[in-house]
Formats: sequence, C-alpha cells, structure tokens
Amino acid sequence: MENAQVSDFDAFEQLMVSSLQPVDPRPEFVRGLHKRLIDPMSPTVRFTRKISTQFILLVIATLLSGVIFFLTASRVIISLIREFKITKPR
Amino acid sequence: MSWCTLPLLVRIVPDFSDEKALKLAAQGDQEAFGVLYERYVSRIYSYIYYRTGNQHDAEDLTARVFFRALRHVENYTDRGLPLSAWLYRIAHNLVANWHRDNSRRKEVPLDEIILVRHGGDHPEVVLIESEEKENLLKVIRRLPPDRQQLILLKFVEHLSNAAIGQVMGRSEGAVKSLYHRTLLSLRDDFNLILMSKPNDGEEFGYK
Repeated sequence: MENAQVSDFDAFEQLMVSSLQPVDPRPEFVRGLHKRLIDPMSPTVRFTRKISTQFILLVIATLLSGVIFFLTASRVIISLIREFKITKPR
Repeated sequence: MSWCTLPLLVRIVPDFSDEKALKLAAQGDQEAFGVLYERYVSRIYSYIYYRTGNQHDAEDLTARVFFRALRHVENYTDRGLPLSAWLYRIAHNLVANWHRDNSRRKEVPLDEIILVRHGGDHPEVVLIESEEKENLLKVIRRLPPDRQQLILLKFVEHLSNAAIGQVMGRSEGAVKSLYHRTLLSLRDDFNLILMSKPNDGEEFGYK
C-alpha cells in the first residue's frame, strides 16, 4: 500500500514536470521593455543618488532665493510708497 | 570612460556575474541593469504568467517588477539573498496585489499554455493531454498563494528547495515539508476532479 502510494506520488510528480513548462515572453515585449528600462531619454529613467541630491539642493537654493527676492522687492516697494507719500505735494 | 559609454557599434556586452552587474547598476549604470534584465526576464515572465493566467497582465507585471528593481537597486544589499530571489519576491508581491485588486479571479487561458506545446501530436492525443493539464492547472490555481509560488518555482523555474527557501523566507526543511504536503493535496484534488468533475467554484481544503 505504501509502495503504491509512493509510486502514485512519483507518477504525479512526473505529470507535473511534463505539464508545467516555462512560457517565453514575446520577443517584441522583451525588446520594448529593455529599451524602456535603459533608454537614457526615457521619462521613466531613474536618477542616481548624486543627481537626486544635487536636484534637491538646487530646489532649496531656488526657494531661498525666491524668498529673499520677494522680501527685498516688497521692502523696496514699501520704501517707494513711503517716499512717494513724503514727497507728494499737498 | 566605462564600457557602457562606448559607441553602440563597438560595445561588447561583458559576461558579468550578477554581483558585478548589480554593483554597477547600483552606481547608475543602466547597461549593467540591462544585462541583469536579459538574464532574468524570461524566468520572471514565466512565473507571473502562470500566476496571472494571461499574457497582457503577465507583461504588465513583468515590466513593473523590473522598474521596481531598477528603482531600488541602489538599496539592494547583498544579504546572502541571490538576485533571482529578490526578483521573485517582488514578482510575488506584485501578483498578490494584482489578485487583491481583481475581485474576480481570472482563469488560466489553458489552451494558450497547453496547445502550443503539442503542435506535432495527433489531435486526439493533444485533446486528452490538454484536458489532463487543464485539470492540473485548475487545481494548482486553487492552491493558496504561497503553495502556488512553491509549485511554480519548483516545476517551472526548476529551483532547488534551498533556493525556494530563499525566495519564500523559509528553511529548506520547511520547503521540503510544504512541497510534500502540497503535492499530496494536489494529487488528491486532481484525482477528485477527474472522477467527479466538481464545479469551478468548489473550494478544496488544504492540510
């Protein structure tokens, strides 16, 4: 009984081996995905860590410059308005 | 200048080891990642194809596996886990999400898988064998996800128990034991389906 079961088990294992064969992807799909993965012009391309860091620093610098520019510009405008009020003939 | 910056015509793709290619890929070398891609795309596709049952989703998920791997290759550290195990884990997680997102479980297009393998056989032989394999795939598709993963890694990808253990995060002994139990359950269910042809919706219990 035990032997019969083992034999049955082996036969079933053989059936699995013959039934489950690898399935190849379409060559066009493989080529297309390869192109998308390594094409330097692809929009999905990954930045290296160095470039990412530089980009983040650039964004921070831009934001700081913007804030400084805004503050300076507003102070200049306020000064001009005050000057205009002082010098305005009554 | 690295080899990947040479003009296309004179470039020779070197026979990198996985480790070397991974190291270069982690430094942003996309050609090195391309070498790894060429090495594993068929295996990952085949695995996903059996798990999803259709070409369209298999292609979509395969693409996602490699884009995710590309995104995280910098963080991939060699923890004794082979690259293939890492890719199979990504694939397994994406397939699990895919099954969760799809409320209805799709059936494997069995004709597509099976008939293509028997182009030269007599039609009657093809029919009988196809039916047999159709039933086999049916019972495999009813297995819990981890058991499906085990069966596919074993029979489609031909991985050893140790390698399957690395993918599944289990010991070799645990894989061996699970494999034995799964195959016994599959055999019983297969015999059952041959004898009684149960409804598609009928669930089997797994020990």
